[in-house]
Amino acid sequence: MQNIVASLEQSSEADRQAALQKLEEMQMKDTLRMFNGLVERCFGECVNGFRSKALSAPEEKCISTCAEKFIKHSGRVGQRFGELTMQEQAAQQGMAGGSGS
Amino acid sequence: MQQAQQNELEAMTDMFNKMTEQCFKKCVAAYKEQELSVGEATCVDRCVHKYMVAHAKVQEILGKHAQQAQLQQGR
Repeated sequence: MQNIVASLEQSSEADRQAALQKLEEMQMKDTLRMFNGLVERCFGECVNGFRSKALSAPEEKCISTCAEKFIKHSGRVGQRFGELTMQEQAAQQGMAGGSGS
Repeated sequence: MQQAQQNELEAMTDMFNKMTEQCFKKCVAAYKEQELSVGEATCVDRCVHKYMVAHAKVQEILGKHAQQAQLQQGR
């Protein structure tokens, strides 16, 4: 990952634009995948009766809670992941002994 | 095809496959018959409807959070 960032800094403006566009596309796809997975998870967990085609009030509540909770969960995981990645990078740079630019 | 259209199509296909999987799991109880029973068919109809409603509901919640995140970044 560090290498990607480093090589991006050295690359030309056009390359950088292309890379950013690619990154945006990947993020878009990942968001869509996450969304579909979330619907599947919460539906599987919350909806179990099919006597009506409308969501019952408890089912709707459960889906809201499930979705909200998952979003907060994923935010927290992202935060911790970011912190740990930064620590690791700092440790690696420390090991390089400050010789790198 | 435009990238955005392709993404949308892929997402729809993915959603459809997941819905099929879920409703089969929840509605089809036995494999004694080749045909869907009346009860199973009714269940599937309702399940598809419910899945779409759940989809819209989760979409709304995600949208709300995305908006909040943008507002916070804008500060």
